[in-house]
Amino acid sequence: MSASAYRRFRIICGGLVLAFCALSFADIGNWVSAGMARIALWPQFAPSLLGMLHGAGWISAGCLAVIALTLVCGRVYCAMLCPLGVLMDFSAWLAGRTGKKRKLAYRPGRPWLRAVPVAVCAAGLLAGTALPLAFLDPFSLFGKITASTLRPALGWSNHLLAATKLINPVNVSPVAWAGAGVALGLLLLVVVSAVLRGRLWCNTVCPVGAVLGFFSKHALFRLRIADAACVGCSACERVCPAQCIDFRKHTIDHSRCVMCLDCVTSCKRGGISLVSGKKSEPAGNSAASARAACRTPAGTLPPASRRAFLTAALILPAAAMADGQHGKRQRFRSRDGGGGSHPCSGDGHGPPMRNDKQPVLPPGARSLAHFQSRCTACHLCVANCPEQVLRPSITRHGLAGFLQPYQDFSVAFCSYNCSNCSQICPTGAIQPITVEERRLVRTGTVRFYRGRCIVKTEGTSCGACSEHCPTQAVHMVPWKDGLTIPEIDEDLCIGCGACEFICPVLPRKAIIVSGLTVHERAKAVVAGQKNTVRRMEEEFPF
Amino acid sequence: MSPITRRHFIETTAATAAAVSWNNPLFAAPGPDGDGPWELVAVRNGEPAGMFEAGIAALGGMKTFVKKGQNVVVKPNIAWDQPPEIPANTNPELVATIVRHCLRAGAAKVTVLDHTCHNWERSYKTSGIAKAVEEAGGVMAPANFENLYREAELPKARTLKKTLILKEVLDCDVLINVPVLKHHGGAKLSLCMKNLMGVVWDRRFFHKNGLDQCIADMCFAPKAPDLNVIDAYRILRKNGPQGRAREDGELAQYQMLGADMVALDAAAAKLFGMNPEDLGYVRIAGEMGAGNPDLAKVRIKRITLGT
Repeated sequence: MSASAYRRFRIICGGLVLAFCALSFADIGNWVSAGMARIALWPQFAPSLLGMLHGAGWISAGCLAVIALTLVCGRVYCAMLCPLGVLMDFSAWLAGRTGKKRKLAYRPGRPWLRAVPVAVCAAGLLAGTALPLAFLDPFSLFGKITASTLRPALGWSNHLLAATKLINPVNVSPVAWAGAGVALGLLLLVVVSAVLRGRLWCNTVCPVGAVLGFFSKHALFRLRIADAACVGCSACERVCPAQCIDFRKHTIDHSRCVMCLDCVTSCKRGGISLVSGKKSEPAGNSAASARAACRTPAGTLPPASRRAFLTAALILPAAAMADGQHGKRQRFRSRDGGGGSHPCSGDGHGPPMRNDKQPVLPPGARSLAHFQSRCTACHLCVANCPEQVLRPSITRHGLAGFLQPYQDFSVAFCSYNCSNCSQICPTGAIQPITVEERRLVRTGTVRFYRGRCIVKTEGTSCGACSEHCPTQAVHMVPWKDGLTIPEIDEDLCIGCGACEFICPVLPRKAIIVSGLTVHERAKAVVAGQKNTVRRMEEEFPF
Repeated sequence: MSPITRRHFIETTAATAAAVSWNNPLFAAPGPDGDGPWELVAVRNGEPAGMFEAGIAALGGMKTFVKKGQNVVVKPNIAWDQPPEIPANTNPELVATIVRHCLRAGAAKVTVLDHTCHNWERSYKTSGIAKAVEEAGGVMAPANFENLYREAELPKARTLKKTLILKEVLDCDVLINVPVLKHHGGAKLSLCMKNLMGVVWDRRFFHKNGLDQCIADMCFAPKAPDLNVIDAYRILRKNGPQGRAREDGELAQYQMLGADMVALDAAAAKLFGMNPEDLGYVRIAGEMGAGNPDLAKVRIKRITLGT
């Protein structure tokens, strides 16, 4: 494949990845099914690594495929599979088209600096939190940014258009402003850094870039500047978005090269080509002298940073695998203390409930520890929740759960007939479960405060909670004056939050669902699968 | 000419039979129900479509209610993401039959909607109503967005003095209310008046300010139903209004039609095995003069099919 053909392929492939990711994360119309997302997002490195290490096995072994690809021909992932990378290239291209063409000069690499984010992510995973990954992994960053900027924008346009009755309105959960602010800030950071300094982010901050950079140094095929062809025009150095070409020394830092091959097309003399590894070492006298002059030759890291890299590369999977009951995690836990036994019903004018209410996790999250150690807050579930009950947490999950999703029962409730979030989660933070399994997962427990109930305070009938309860864990029992009042059967409760959502008592609801730190198995509803039949002999009763 | 399908055959036969027997001196021997016109028609022992054909014929045919070029809104109960076998929603076959009749009577457009409790797209689909209505030539419209509502005043109401009501409903020419007879944890039974909560935006207001009174107040909404059809083909006997399993449903094969919601609700209560006086909203609506809850004073036509 010629370099220009490769460039076209890279742009098309990158465009498709960008379009699909944008579509998935700004999905206001349930366009993307869980199956489509699983297949299309298979090669996304960080989610796949987390998923694979947490038992999904080969189903999410996309990261291994990416490593293999990198070992063959360098960081092709960064060139066309990473949505954030493609977005950066696109913004830089757009800026170059509209404004002054930027020219970048070679900068020496700082391998030790790149090892830091990898180490931080690994340390986070060891401590039982995926929080660092949430703000460093490019896929999750792209997701967060799209889901909290493009998605609400699409939602608003839909509602404007729906007024014309040409299209149906869609249901989009309210924007979490703090989350949107953070996302906008990140977007600005990424775009500005891309416009000014190309792939600076990918070679400084990005842990995936650092890990893949480690492998790309040893790639089978690498770029080489042919000494004989070079006239020292510096064209290659100026177009390199990674700033990894030193045209004076004829060296390319392969750990930073993101395989855009812009240098190849820029060279009028065809002096840069992809050759197999051994040949890519600078050859010839001039190169030898250049090598001698260069303290850190391309393709080799100083021993210390290499060690750091290897350590990080080993720690990352180990940390991810370490399953979690670490004491350390306690520190990161939700701000609202422990969730011991709950008084389930009572005449209590109990403590102010909003405060000791635990956030409810999506069904399939298993436990707070399981969830927080794997969720990179990419917001794919938030965008694709048909009920739009999942929202990013600002304070509900505490520090370690910043922007991780929780179920907000003030806007909606979890469907009894849906397990979409579990099917679409790319990291396995929400383990895949079927609808039948979902119906038996208890994500939270219901608490009824009779003292606040309309039936008691107003003496009128209500029953909204029981109406909405899919399992009748909340059911109405005779009370006084011919009225009925809710009664709780805790065993049947799955924590869907429908009762809390619909309860008309404000500001403090009379029925509340508090999240469980460890999800439980609910009692199955045992009921016949046939209608009863009225006897035909019966006549009109009036 | 379209081929004669089974549905077509049954519909035509039933309609012809009803038309022939209607006011025909051959059949004029006054039955136990006396002479028409009737205020309430109750039909039993048939399929949803067939019972509707017989019932609407006894009321003088759909042309009595729908004139050429009119805009019709059919308001079934589609509140829940439940299949027809769990009768939390109105029977789809009945809704489709009503849509067909409206179009045949010359309606310009027949819109079917409900402010659902579960996800509206899911409920429309699972209930089978979306498919049935679209096949019949009706339009399914969303009702779960606040901008589809407009504030309306109910001067004769006691509590619900004003509320947001679906623009589609306020602006239509004919409103046909098609509830399903079902058990209800809060209101005891969900019937004609209760079904009108599905054209209101803020239902929590009802629950907060006296459910029975607010339900009865809906009789005085600016657009009251011109025709009500209570679907009691399958009755939800327990765990209502949502239902948990098929065993909650009873195949009863009844249907009641009429303009008086209070009389219809009283009759449906009896069919369920309850005393109408035990339903707060029936009692209140009767007191407020919205209709007649005393079935002894209502002119009822009783039709038993298949005999």
